[in-house]
Amino acid sequence: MSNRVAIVGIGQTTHSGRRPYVNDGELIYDAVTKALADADLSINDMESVMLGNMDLFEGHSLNDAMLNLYSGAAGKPGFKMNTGGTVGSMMAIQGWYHIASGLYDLCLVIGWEKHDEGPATPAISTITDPAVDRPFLVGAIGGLATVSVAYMQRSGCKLEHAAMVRANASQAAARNPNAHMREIYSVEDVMKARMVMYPLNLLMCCPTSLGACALVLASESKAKKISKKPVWMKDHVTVHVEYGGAQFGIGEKRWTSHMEAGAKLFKRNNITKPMKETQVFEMYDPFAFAIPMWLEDFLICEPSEGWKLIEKGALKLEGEYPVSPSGGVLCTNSIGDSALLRVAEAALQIRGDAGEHQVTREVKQALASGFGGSFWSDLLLLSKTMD
Amino acid sequence: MKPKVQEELIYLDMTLKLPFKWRTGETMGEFFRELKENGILYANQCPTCGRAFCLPKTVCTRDHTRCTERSKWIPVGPKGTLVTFFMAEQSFLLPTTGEMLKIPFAVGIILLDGAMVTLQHQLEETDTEKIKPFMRVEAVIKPKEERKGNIYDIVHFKTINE
Amino acid sequence: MEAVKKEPVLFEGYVIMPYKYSVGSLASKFFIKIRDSKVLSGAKCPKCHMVNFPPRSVCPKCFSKVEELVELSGKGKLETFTIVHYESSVQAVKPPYAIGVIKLEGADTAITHFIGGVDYKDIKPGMKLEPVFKAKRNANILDIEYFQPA
Ligand SMILES: [Zn+2]
Ligand SMILES: [Zn+2]
Repeated sequence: MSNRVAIVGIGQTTHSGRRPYVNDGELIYDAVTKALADADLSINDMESVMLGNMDLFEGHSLNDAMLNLYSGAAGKPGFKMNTGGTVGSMMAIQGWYHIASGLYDLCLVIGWEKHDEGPATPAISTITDPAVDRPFLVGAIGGLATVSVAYMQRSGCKLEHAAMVRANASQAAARNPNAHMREIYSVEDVMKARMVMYPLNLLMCCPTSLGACALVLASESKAKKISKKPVWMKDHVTVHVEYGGAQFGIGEKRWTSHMEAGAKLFKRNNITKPMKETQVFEMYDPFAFAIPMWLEDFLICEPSEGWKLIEKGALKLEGEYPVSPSGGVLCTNSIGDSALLRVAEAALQIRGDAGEHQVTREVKQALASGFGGSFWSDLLLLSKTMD
Repeated sequence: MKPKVQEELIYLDMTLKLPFKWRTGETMGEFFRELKENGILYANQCPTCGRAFCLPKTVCTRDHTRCTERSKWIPVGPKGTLVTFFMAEQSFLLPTTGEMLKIPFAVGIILLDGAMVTLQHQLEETDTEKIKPFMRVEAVIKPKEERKGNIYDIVHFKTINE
Repeated sequence: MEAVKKEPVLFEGYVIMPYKYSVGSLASKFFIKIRDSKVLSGAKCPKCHMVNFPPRSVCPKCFSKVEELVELSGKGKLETFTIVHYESSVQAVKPPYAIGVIKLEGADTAITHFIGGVDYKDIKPGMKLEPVFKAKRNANILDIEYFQPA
């Protein structure tokens, strides 16, 4: 039986497209000091420190050594990790392992990216086989564009629905002071944007942002002592997927890492009606088709129903099942912290501390997800109470 | 941490250039040799689950069986079905050359006839109105004297009417 | 049942990527002082008064935010050194060259930089050093050409 783990400190920087007056370390320090202040703890209280971001995005790799001054990791256990888009959620999960194992009572996890300083698309292309895949990948958007075309084909979702998703996200981000792109767009504005990677136009792709996020995680005994509003990390799932036809349902039943993650998490926690038993979902939504398509894949709604929920306005901040009320990855994507922000924002919703973008429903349980690398998934279940 | 106006800020410009060698491995090596010498696309078959992979895999992802038995290789394609695609209309820096991608650039996820797992490659057609999921396509393979035993021995996939 | 056993095909390529690196507000001031006035400065912690050099905006000792630069004489002492003989594409100068770990007067941390203006066999730990600046300076760490015996 593993120890229970709670989030007791949440910190994030504001996010933007360019911030030349801070270096990488200073960006991290900003988030770390905010998380420590939120937990009312000092760096000396942290027993392990974990750092996550994308290798090569800023031109350096293994940067925990270079940055341990700013992360506070010097003299402590922990490691630097890169798992692509899921790196942020993996940071939360790795922190969970450190505490659930009984090794430590307090752990600091950090995700960050300074996206303005390096070429993300070539850097991300280095994740693939150079002899056969790399010439055709064109970064992350290439892959996301292909799954979008396939989704439109099988579900009847139209480009306009993706535009609705982006317009909704813009309204949410406008209420989140830490979001990067806070301009409000109408469906027409989104439809008019320049095409980048058919079917995804510029506004249907996530931006390149910079920012950092940090969480302080605590064991049950510690959390009860030090925190008035601990948010419990009730469960989490990580699933990898294979390349090839399965995710398109070619020659066999359609099968994706999100489907596997949803099935496992809901079964293990006896959740039969995810939209009732969880009240908000901070989804890792890096392109405009993600929310409708992945609500289906996570088995939260029926196949081909995702875009109908968008049409009904059900997924808005004040809707029946709010998804990414922070504006999501669509409005803020500093990759190394994107998935950690999902966990942080879901926790803020449970605490009731999300401010202007607090959802109208009462939140007892929340979902947060990560997606990335070679199409893999993290899905986390957070809860206000321990059981 | 507010930006101070008129403050001079220093940044460094750097270019990272890392040379690397990549051995394609025995399975992809055999695929490339067949492509170069005979112009034939091969899939290998998993002895456990029977799936035929093109591009070939040394190990089946599903059941972790080793799939290197040469007798289990079957010619596939060159015709196939387009499953889905993307079309780059904005250029990106290519990490392999340091040059910008020539646009428009369409890439398809293609299921070759006889294979059960898809591959991705460039499409000849770049008009998104004319590219439809489930349309038929065919690999255009370079003449023998131009083939080098790499993925570019397939020029692209052209649309066919069937 | 013949298994595939031939020489694998080799694919050779490059990863080429351009970057910018913002040094940040405090380090910008440090580099500008070198470029404009040939002055070296350290970052002084408001809480524990530790001076770190080259300046970083967080105190390595007490994790406080550091915003103040203090000017240093530039004179220092060699802690340890090595002579580089092998060549690689990432080096800023051609080998052979000497690099030393140098602790400046008034600083609590050390910098790694080149040692020059001296016969390599005469380099000894503990020797006194001073910076030699380039005539044309671009606000980066190589504006200091090397440290030489003082
Ligand atoms: Zn198999
Ligand atoms: Zn201090």
